[in-house]
Amino acid sequence: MTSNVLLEVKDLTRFYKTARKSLFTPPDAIYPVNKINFKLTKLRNLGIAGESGSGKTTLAKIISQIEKQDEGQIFFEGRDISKMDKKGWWDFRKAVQFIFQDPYESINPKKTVFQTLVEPLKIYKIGDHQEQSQRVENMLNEVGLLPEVMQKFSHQLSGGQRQRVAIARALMLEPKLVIADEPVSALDVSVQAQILNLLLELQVKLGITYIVISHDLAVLRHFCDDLIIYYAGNIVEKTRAKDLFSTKNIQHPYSAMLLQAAFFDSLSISENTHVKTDEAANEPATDDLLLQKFAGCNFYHRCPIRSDLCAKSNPLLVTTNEKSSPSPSPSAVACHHPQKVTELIKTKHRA
Amino acid sequence: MSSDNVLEVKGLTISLLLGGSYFEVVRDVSFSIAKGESIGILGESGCGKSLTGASLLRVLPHPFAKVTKGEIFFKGEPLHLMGHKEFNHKFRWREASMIFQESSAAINPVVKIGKQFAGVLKRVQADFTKAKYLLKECGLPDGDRILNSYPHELSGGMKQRVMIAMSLAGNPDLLVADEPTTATDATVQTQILDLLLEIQAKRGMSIIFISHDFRLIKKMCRYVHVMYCGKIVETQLTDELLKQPQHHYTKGLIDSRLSLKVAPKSRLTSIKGVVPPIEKWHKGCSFFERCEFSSPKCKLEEPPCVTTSDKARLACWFPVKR
Ligand SMILES: Nc1ncnc2c1ncn2[C@@H]1O[C@H](COP(=O)(O)OP(=O)(O)OP(=O)(O)O)[C@@H](O)[C@H]1O
Ligand SMILES: Nc1ncnc2c1ncn2[C@@H]1O[C@H](COP(=O)(O)OP(=O)(O)OP(=O)(O)O)[C@@H](O)[C@H]1O
Ligand code: SF4
Ligand SMILES: [Mg+2]
Ligand SMILES: [Mg+2]
Repeated sequence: MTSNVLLEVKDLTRFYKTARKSLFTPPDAIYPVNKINFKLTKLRNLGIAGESGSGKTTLAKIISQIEKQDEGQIFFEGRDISKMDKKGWWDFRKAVQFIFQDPYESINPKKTVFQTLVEPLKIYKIGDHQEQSQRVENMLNEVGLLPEVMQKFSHQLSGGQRQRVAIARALMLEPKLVIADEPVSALDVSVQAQILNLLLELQVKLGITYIVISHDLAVLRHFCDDLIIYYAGNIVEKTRAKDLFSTKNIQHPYSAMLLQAAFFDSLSISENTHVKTDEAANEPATDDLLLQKFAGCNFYHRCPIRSDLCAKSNPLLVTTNEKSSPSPSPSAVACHHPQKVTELIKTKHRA
Repeated sequence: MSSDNVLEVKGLTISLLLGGSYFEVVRDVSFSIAKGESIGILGESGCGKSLTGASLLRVLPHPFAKVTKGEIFFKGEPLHLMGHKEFNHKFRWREASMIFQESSAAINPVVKIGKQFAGVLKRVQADFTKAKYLLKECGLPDGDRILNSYPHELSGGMKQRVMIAMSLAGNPDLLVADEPTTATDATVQTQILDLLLEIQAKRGMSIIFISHDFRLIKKMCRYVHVMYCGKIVETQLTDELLKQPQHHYTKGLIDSRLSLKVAPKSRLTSIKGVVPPIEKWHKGCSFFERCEFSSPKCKLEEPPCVTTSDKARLACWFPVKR
């Protein structure tokens, strides 16, 4: 039986040393990716949402190996990528494509749109000149750009046009996994709809699986099967998208807070999820949390349902539905009081 | 001219250098903002929103784009006549500032944040301690590390917030916010928008809020201008616009919105076709090829932008039926 797990990461960790506070203290390190584990099922799109600055982009860059991890392993189609030979590595880089949060990063400013798009085909020696040009033209058409843009440089495009070029480039090699960091946040809602339609169509046509990082929960709701909620370098909740958005099964208070902020006008979630200003004043910098030194829960300072226990011990990520639905991506939560989250949501219903 | 207008833009036209000749990309745009008011600008990707904002602060990409027509009045003074020196020393950062759509367009990648921030603070004659205070207001309590970092060492949302903090440093009376919170999570987004509203209430700052997100425009702006192919095609009270869009383009946008009612992974509605290239814009209504209700008149004659009520305007021969 072939496994349906496309990607698995084990104890993935990445840290950055921070400047010394004084000559006598050793340098500290922040951990935007702190022992992360998850499995990605073929054709089940995974969404990652979470705090700004918590490490989502870093995690995505490591999965696509634009950046290297300090610890941990990545398995692609069951194979440890650190043990791959040259051919395997070459195939991996072709199969996994990354769309940057900032399109300036994925598009070389000295190249025209045509050169940008044809480059991957040249590197992998796909087709002759004529076929390559044809493919570029087709792809531009697919992402809703006119052939006129081919000779333009990226600075001559609007934000949305540039983003479409970045998406087109990632799709040129018909990858198996596309990791997209905020792929549609720069686009107007009509183009956004076109791009989401296109990505889902290509999923069916070419069998692509997506990991999408987005602050736009409506996009994740539409596009993803599974979700990871990320906070200060850790996964705080793993869930199926439909469970989270039905609001019956929100397990972590931060998830409830995100949903409340994003859908204040259409969902019934208690406004108690707001951080009170007097309490927020004592809130530690995200950095202090990224140092992973606080003994208690990372979310403690912003949490509306915390207890004394939360200040003392950091809750582990525990699986919550293994028995009811055996799946490669079971639901899990890192919170001492997930049942209280349900209360948070119920309160509003009654009010 | 009413005197409580902070900004009045009249017939603004911006031309773009393409293959050796200039084409008008922003066409005859007029609007005004009162003290303490926010106006929203929304529209198709590439329709000229960012260029319009950039022109107010004279940061158009030179020599590709230049203002070719129009007048801009700031607190009654003709801003378009102000000399460059005065503009840079007295106006930018102090009277008006801009949050750019892409932070990489505004932040120098090889200079530490602290140094860049110091430059801005010097211009507005503020103390460096203000940097940490502003960063904290924008949800970045750890000012020390941020100021000590290079831009690539910060996350997307952190860079965006650095830019917001800088833009507020000189207590400007006008803020151009071009997609200011696309890279922050929803809770930070709420925090930042509330901060802007609070400053607005306290000091009467006026805001031009450019965004694709109807929900945010609704939260921030009483009036909204819809642009298509470089023109304002509809201006309306935000609530009214959402309920009863009059221009077919506006209606198309509203119908393309993702809502919680759409079935996941279903095919989303979108406006058919794409914006025509600037070189091919014709005389009539720019939305002609994509509009399902167009008639020959629309192709031949440009619909004038007529005032419908109070500040509301519409440029369409055959508006959406009420
Ligand atoms: N090269 C680097 N050197 C030092 N620190 C870094 C580097 N890259 C990222 N960081 C830090 O790691 C943390 C996580 O950054 P990351 O870009 O992964 O966040 P994110 O979750 O993608 O945030 P956002 O939603 O704002 O894009 C931040 O505190 C950032 O400052
Ligand atoms: N430096 C430049 N040289 C040539 N063309 C440019 C330049 N900058 C922008 N343009 C073009 O001008 C038009 C308007 O660009 P602008 O950035 O104002 O669009 P926008 O409305 O802000 O779009 P978005 O929502 O995608 O950010 C686009 O068609 C773009 O291709
Ligand atoms: S463990 Fe405690 S502090 Fe952390 S999220 Fe759960 S209730 Fe809140
Ligand atoms: Mg990021
Ligand atoms: Mg723009």
